[in-house]
Amino acid sequence: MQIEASLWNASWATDGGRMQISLSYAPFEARYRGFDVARCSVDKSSDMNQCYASHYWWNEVKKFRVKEMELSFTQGRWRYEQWGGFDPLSSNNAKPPGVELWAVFDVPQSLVDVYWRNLTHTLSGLFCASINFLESSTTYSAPELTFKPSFGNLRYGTLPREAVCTENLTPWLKLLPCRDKAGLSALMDRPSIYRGFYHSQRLRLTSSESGSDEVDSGIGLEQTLTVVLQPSSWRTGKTYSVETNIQPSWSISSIFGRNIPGKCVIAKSSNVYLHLDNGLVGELKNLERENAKYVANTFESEGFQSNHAFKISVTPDKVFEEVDYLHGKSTSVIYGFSVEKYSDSQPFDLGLTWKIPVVWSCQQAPLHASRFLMGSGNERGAIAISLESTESSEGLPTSHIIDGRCELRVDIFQVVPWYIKVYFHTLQVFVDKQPRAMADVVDKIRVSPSKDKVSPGVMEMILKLPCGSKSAAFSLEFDKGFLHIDEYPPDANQGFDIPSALISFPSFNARMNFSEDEFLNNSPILSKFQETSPVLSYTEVLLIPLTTPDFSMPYNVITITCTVFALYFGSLLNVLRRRVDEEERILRSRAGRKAGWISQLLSRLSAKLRGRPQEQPTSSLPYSFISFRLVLKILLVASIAVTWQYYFG
Amino acid sequence: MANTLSLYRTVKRLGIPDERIILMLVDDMACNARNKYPAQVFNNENHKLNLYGDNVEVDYHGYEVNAENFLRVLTGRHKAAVPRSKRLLSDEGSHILLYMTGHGGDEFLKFQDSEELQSHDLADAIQGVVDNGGHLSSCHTLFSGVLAIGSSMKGENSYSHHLDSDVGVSVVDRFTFYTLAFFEKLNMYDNASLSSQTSPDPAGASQKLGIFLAWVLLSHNPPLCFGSTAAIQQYRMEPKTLSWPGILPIPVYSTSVTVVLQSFHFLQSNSVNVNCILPNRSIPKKIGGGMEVLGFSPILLIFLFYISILIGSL
Repeated sequence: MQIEASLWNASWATDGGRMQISLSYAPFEARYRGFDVARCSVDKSSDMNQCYASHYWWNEVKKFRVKEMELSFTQGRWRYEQWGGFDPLSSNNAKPPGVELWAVFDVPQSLVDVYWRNLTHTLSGLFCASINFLESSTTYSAPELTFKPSFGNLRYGTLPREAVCTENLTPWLKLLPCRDKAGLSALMDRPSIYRGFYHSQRLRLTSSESGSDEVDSGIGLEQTLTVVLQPSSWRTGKTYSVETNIQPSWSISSIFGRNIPGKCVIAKSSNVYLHLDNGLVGELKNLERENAKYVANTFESEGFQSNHAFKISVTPDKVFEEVDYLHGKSTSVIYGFSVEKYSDSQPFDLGLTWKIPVVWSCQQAPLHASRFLMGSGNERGAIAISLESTESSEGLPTSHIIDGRCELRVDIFQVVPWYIKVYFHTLQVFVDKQPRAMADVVDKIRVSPSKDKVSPGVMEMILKLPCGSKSAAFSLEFDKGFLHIDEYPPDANQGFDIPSALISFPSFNARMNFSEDEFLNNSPILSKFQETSPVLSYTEVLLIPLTTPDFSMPYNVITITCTVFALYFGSLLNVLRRRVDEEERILRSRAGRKAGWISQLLSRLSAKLRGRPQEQPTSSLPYSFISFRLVLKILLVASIAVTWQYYFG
Repeated sequence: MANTLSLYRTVKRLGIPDERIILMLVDDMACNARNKYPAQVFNNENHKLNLYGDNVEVDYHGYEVNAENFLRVLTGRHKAAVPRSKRLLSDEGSHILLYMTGHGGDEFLKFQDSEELQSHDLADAIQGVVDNGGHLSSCHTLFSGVLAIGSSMKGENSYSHHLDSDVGVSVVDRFTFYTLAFFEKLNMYDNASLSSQTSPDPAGASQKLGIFLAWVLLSHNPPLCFGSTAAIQQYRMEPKTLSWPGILPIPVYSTSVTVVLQSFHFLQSNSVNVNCILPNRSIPKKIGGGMEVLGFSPILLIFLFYISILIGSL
C-alpha cells in the first residue's frame, strides 16, 4: 500500500482552468500529515475472520442486517398535475418532503426495533441529518398491507420538516466512486440544484445473501438525484421580444453552469438520456398532421436531430421508442447519449432549442390525490383525503374487471402523530359526492390506534372504487392533544406536521416497455424503467397548529414569587432589626470625625452667604467638596475684580 | 451563521479535516426558500466568497442544537448509539477550539431562542474537558489551561459589521470580520504567533486572537468544535498552572507560550486594556460631575463682580 502524489492539470483540478499549474515553481514538494488508514491488518490469511467483526464501519450494513432500505431527502413538493404521475420517473422519484426512511431487517421480530434505532443513528451521522429523531417510537410505524409483505420486519418513518441542503448532498456524493470530481456527478453545481422547484436525493440499498442460487450475494446501492429546474432565459441571453410563446430552450451548461468532462474511469457505463414523454410526442405528431407535413416518422429518419419542432445540439447514439400495446396512445421516445467518447478537452454539452410553441401535458396517475384539514379551533378538526379522477383514467383496460364489475384498487397509507387523536369510527366515505357505506368501498382496513407518547396512529386501507367514479373523498375526525412543555420544539407556534399519506394504485404499472435490445441490459436506468412497480403518489404535508403554553410563564411565576418572598422577608427583617435614625447618626458621627475646623468654618460662611440655616457639621463629603469649589470661585472672581479695579479704576 | 461558517472554512483551509470538526448550525439559512442565493452564504456584501461551498458537513443542525447536546459533546457523555462523527473524541493530547456565536448576555448564552446555558455550566463543562487531559503523565503535551476571548466586555454590546442590503441581513460581526481578514492572509505552512503583533490598532486585538488560533491549529492535530448559538461574555476562570514540555520543535512556539501566560493575567484582573484585546470600541462613558467645575453659574459671577467693585472703590 503506498501513497502517490500527482499534479493534475485537468479542468476539475484547476477550478475549470482558472488556476493553472505554473511550472516555473518546479520542483514541487509534497508533505504529508495525519495519514490515517482505516484497516484491519492480519498476519496470516487464516485470521481474516476477525476483519468481519462488527466494530469496523464497513461491516455496518451487515451489522445492521438490513435486507432492503430506502432513504430519501426531499425539498419541495412534486406537482403531479404539471409534471405527471404515471411514468416511472414520477412514480419512483416523487418523494414526500423531508426525510423518508424505510427498512426491512433480517432479524427476529422482537429485535427489529433495536436494529432500527441503531440504523437511524448511524444514518444521521453519515448524512448530516437529524434522522436520529426517528429512533423514538412515536415517529415510526410498521405498515403491513401497503408495502410488500415483510412479516413484520418493515419499519417506516418520515421527518416532514427536515431541511435538505449541501451538507446532505456531500456525503451522498462521497459514496460515488468518482465523487463529484469526474463523470456525470461533476455537474452537481450546488446553487443550480438548490435553486430548483424540487430536489430529492434517494439511496436504495438491497442486500442479498445467497446460499446456493446463482445470484451473487452482495450489497447493491442505487443512488438517484431528482431535480426539477426551470431554464432561465436570462442565462442563455435570449430576449423575450418575439418568442414569448415558445418554451425556453436549455442546455446543460446553461442550467448547471458546467459541462460533463467525460466519464468516471471506474464507471462501467456513463450515459445521458433525453426522454420525450408521451404527451409531448403525441402533441408533436398532432402538429405534424395538422401542418400536413408528410414525414413518415420524424424520430427515426435522419432528421431527428432537427425536426420541425426542436433541435438538439448533439447527435444521439441510440434512439429508443417505447412499445405500447396497452393504451393505444402515443409512446415516449428516449435519446441515448454515451459520454464515453467525451473528455476533458471535449466536454459533453447537450442542448435543446425549441422552434415552435408546443403545449403538452404529462400523463397523470388515474386519480389525483390531495389532502386537507377541516374544522377550526384548537380543540378538534378533521382530515380529509380527496381523490379526483384525471382524464387518463378514462378508457381503462379491461383487465380491471373483476367479478363482472370494473373496479379500481387504491391503497392508502397514513400515519398520524399521537397528539392528533384520530377517531377511526368517524371515517366517512363519499363517492361522487354521495355518502356511501364503508363496506361498499373499503375492501380491507388495518388500523393501529395511537398510544399517547408511545406510538402514532397508523391507517392502511385498500379500496375498490367503481371505475366510472369521478371523485372519492374520506374524512376522519380528530381531537388535538396536549404536549408536555418539554416536548414542544423551539418554534412551537409554527405548528406541527402530519406526514404525507401514500396513495398507490397497484393495478397500474408505472413502466416503460421497450423492444428487446441488448443495449438495454447494459443500461441500469432503462432496465429500471422496465421494472414493474405500482403507481405511487404522495399527498401534501399538513400543518396543524396545536395549543401552545405561554412559554414565559415559568419566568413570570418565578419573578412574582421571588418578589413576594423578598417583600415579605424584607419587611419582616426590617421591622425586627432596624432602629430608626440609626443610619443617619452613624454617618454624622463619622463625618464629624473627619471634617476639620476649616471646613466647618467655611461651611458656616457659605451657609451665611446662601442665607440658609446652618446645618450641623457636614454629614456628607460632597457637600464640603462643593463648598470648597465655591470658595475657589469666590477667590478667583474677587482677585479678578481687584486687579480690574486697580488698573482701570 | 456566516460567522461560524467563515471560521469553519478557515479552519478547513488551514488543514484540519472534517473528521476533527464538529459543526453545529441552528438555522437552515442556505437552502431556505427565502434565500435569494440558494446554497450560498456570504460573509461580505461583495458576495465574493461562498462560505457554504461544496463540502460542508454539519454534525448537529436544527432542533438538535440545544444545551443538552452541546454539553454532551463537551463532556463526551453520549448515548450508546450516537455515531462517531457526532462525538468530540478528544484525548489527553487534544487542543480544542470552541467558537460560539449568537446571542447571549451577562453570564448566559442563548440556544434556539428557547433555552439558556449558564456560564457556570459552560465553565464546568470546559473544566471537565480540561480535567480529562490532566490526568496523564507530564510527558505528554498538555494544554491544561483555558484561554477565553469574547467579542465584547461585560456591559458592552457586540455589533455586526455591516448590513448586506441585497440579502437583507447583517452578514458578519466585527470580531469575526477582523479575525477572518487576518486569516485569509495565512496558509497552512505559516508560522504565525501572538508575539509578532505589536501595534494596538482596532483590528490588532482580533489579530492576536487570530494568531492564537493559528498557533492552536498549526500544532498537533486538534479536534475542534464550533457552535452557532450564543456569544461569550467575559468568563472568569481560574488559570491553571500552565505546564509546558521542555522540548519544543519550533522556537516560535515558546514565544507564544509566554504570551499566553501573560494573557492569562489579563483575564484574571478586572481592568483589561480594551484596545489591546477586544476590537469593539467601548461606548463612551457619560462624563460626570467633573465637567461642571469649569462652568460658572453666571449670576454668581455678576454678583461677586459687583461686590469686588464695591470693595475696590472703597
